[in-house]
This record gives sequence, structure tokens and C-alpha cells, in this order.
Amino acid sequence: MLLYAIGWILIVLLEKDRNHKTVMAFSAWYLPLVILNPLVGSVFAYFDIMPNRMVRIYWLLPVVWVIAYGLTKLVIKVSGAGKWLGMAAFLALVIELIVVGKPLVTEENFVRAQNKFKLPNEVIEVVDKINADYDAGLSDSRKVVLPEELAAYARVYDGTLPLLYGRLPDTDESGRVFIYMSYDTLDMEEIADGARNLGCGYLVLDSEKPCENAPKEAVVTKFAEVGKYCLYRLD
Amino acid sequence: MVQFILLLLGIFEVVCVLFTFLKLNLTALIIVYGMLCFLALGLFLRARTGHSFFVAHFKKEGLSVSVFMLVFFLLFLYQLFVVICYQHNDADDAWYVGTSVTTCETGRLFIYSPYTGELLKWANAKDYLLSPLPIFWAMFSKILHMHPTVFTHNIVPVGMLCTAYIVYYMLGKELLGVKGPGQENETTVKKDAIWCFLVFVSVLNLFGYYSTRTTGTFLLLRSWQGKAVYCAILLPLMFYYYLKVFKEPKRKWLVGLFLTSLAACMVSFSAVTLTPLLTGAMCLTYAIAKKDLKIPFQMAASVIPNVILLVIYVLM
Repeated sequence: MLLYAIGWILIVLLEKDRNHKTVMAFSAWYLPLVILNPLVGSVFAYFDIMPNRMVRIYWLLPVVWVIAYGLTKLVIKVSGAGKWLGMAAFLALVIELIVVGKPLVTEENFVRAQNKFKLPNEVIEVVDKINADYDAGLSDSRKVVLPEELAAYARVYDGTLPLLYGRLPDTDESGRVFIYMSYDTLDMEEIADGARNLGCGYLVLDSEKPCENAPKEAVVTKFAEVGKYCLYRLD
Repeated sequence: MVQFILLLLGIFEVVCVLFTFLKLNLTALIIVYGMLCFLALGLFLRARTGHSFFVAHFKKEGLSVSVFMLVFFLLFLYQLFVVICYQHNDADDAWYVGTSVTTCETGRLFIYSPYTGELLKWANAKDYLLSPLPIFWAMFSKILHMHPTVFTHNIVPVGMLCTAYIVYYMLGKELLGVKGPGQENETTVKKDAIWCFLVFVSVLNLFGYYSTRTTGTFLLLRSWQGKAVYCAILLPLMFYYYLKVFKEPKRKWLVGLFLTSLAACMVSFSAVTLTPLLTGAMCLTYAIAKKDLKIPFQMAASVIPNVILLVIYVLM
């Protein structure tokens, strides 16, 4: 926001065109009026429009373009005193943006593409192994319970794969299994029996999480392993 | 060209929402939409409306190389390299790409949940129903016989990145253009300034990971998702049209504003709510700055589709 304020001030000081100033800088007047206005929030809440998403209103601020425009105006201004001076100002500003900025292209955000789907390899391997097992006629149901981190992507790879829940559960019953799957210690009785009662044929568990309580109803057969994930058939 | 693409997106919004409520399938949508696209192309060519930005610009200006331009293209190529060779795992794909995959597999529009494959409860997904960008990607995947995930993760980011920088170039030219002698109606560009502007935009995108919702984050991490298209491409385009309207309130710029607003409705439901706020603010600003009420009313008309969609949303 500091950079935005700097860009905003540069536009106000250096821009001569009134239209540019009005659209890029002065038009932001409404934002505090909307954000700090309880009436706006009440109307949005009443009609259930964008619940918990009011923060998206900041998207409307042309932050990047205001900063870039303000800095460009500054470079133009400095260039007036000498071309090389302008170039030096440009370089200094670019370095400044890099130093104060936070890099986007990091190991945290990106990994080298693992396959043509650009999905985690484990997702593809797990889904392929379940499909192969089901196609071999070893289970009556293809419906799967997956750990949350795999559930978000399984149907992105195979749109025909039935899941008990995806990124989030759709029903209270599936939500119960979803919650038990999210605990640090897995309660096999609740998970396996719950999944079986909801018509699931397969269960995938993170082997790094300890398990407790054997299932009472479901017969759990391990048929494959993919990385840290163990694949079970539910009978 | 710009307005024609926006028109195609707008037509898709109308047709797809209608087909969703009529519970028609993807194949029917492709056929009808394809026919409407050809019809729109014919009408567009006949009317000779819109504005061909790049052809006219480069014919007039030519293309000369400068240091700023080289730096920009290096940064742009680096961004292209990142979106082509790297992957970002985003859990939001479970809905956005999941919907495209489910639609392609079943051929039905918003009938099955992308999360589970069970029947979709519309009450839980009404905002997504009204902004059917995932169906748009599913349509292309179907036509190209390509898996929707491969399409959205490999082809779309390249298209979005190129489109975004074309829009930034247009915005930059509008902001940094100057009227040359004897060119009162033409805007020539200070070339170095515009490339300098684009360098700054690129650096801000590459080093602007202050949150998961900055322009750069949207553009480089998940450009196939509707909110990313809205924030990184359509919002700057709206500012381009606002500038045009403020400078010379001609019909074609108002039409551009209308089409951008309609296209924004197609890509993200957030746009349905946010665009009227922005346009309302711009209308008031215009009315105060220019002491004129006629143009603000015409600008306000650009968000009629948003109002209609909001009414549908509330009634659903």
C-alpha cells in the first residue's frame, strides 16, 4: 500500500492531464466510503452477496498500474534533465522494487511440471491404481475416501471418479468422515466403517499418521502403496 | 478486435446461463454458440464497429528497438517460461478445473458436483452457475479433443499472459500517449515510456507476492480461474475504457465498457458485484469532474447485465 500511495502522489504531482489524474488517482475516493459504511455491509449481508468476501473490494484499486504509471512519470521527469540520468533512475527504481518486493516465483509456489496435467504425480498414481483395481472387478464400488490434499485434485485428473468428498464435503455424513480424516491420529473405526456405510469401495490413508481402533464392520485390505499413501479396498 | 472478443465472451454468458437453466447439454451449447459466433462476426464486419488497436498502432508507429523494450521482452519471456514449464498446485482447481473436467466427461452443464460426481445442489453453487468460465474452457477442450486439465494448465496461461500484457500495453499507451503536432485526434506514444511502464508492471507482477490476491499472483499462479481473468485482464481494460470515455465520450467506448462489464460477468461472480461499484464511482467522479449527467447515465447502463444477474441470484 505504501508503493501505491507513492504512485498515487507521483501521479497527482507529475501528471498534467486532468483526465488521467481523475481516473487513475482521484476515482479511488469511493473506497473508504464503501468499506467504512455499515449500510453497504448490511445490504450485502441481507442479500447474501459475497459473504466474507468484502475484502475483494480492494481488487478494484488499480494498484499495479498506478505504481507503474507513477514511477514511469518520475523516470520521464528525470529524463528531462538528461537521458542517462533517466536511465539511472529507471534502474534504481527497478532495483528498489525488487528489493522491497516479495518474489512470486519461489519453490513455495512453483514446482517443475511433473506431468502434462500439471498435477501432483501422487494423485495420478493413486487414481490409476484405484481404477485398475476396480476394473479388475475386485470391488463393488469405485467411490473413494481420500486425504484432503489428494481429494482436491483427484477429480481434476479423472472426472468420472466418484468421491465421498472433494475439497470440501457436500453433506453432513461425508463431513463426519472428512473431519476424522483431518485428525493427526486416524480413527479407523470411524473412518472405515463410516466410509463403507456411505457406499465407498476404497480408502486412501496417509501412512505417516498413526492409526487407532480397528474397524468393526468394514474389512480393510491394503492393495497398493504410492509414496506415503496406503491404498485400501473396503469390503 | 478487442470488442469482438469481449462480445464473444458476453454472448457465451447469455447462452450458457440460459442453457444451464434449461438443462441442455454441452454439445447443444457448442452448436448454438458456434452459430452465434459466426453471426456476430458477420454483423461485426458489416457494421465495421470497434477499434483495431494493434494493426493501426504498429502501421503508424512502426516497431523500433529500445533498451526498455528489450528488458520488457526478457521479463515477459521469463514469465512465459514460468507458466509453461512450472506448475502451481491450487486447491481452488477442485471447483474451477473440476467443473470443466466434469462437464467434458458428462456433457451436462452444472448437473454434477465437481467435488464428488454426485448431483449438484444449485443452492450451494448459484454464484458459479451465473459465471460459467469453466464451461467455456470445457467447450474448447471438447472441440480440441484435449483433457480440460491439460488445456487449462498449459494452453490457457499462455493465452492469458499474452492477453494481459496486450491490455497493459493499451492502458500504457492511453496513459503515456501524447498528442503530436497536427495530430489532435490521434495519440502517438512515447515509445520508451510505454516500455518502461511495462517493465515496471512486469517487475511488480514478479515481485508482488504480498498476498495471494495480487495481480501478479493471479496472472502467474492461476490465470485459468475467473477471478484471475477479472483482476488481471478485465479490470485494467475497464480502466482503459474509463480513460477513453473521460477523454472523448464516444459511443464505441461506452459500448466497450458495456462489453467488458458483460464479459466480466461471464468470468467471475465477484465481478457481477464489484463492477457496478466501480462504475458507480466512475459515474459520480465524471459527473463531478465534468459537470455532466448524460454520460454518467450512459456509463451506468453498462452494468445492466450485472443488475439482472444479481436479481437472478437473489431470486434463486
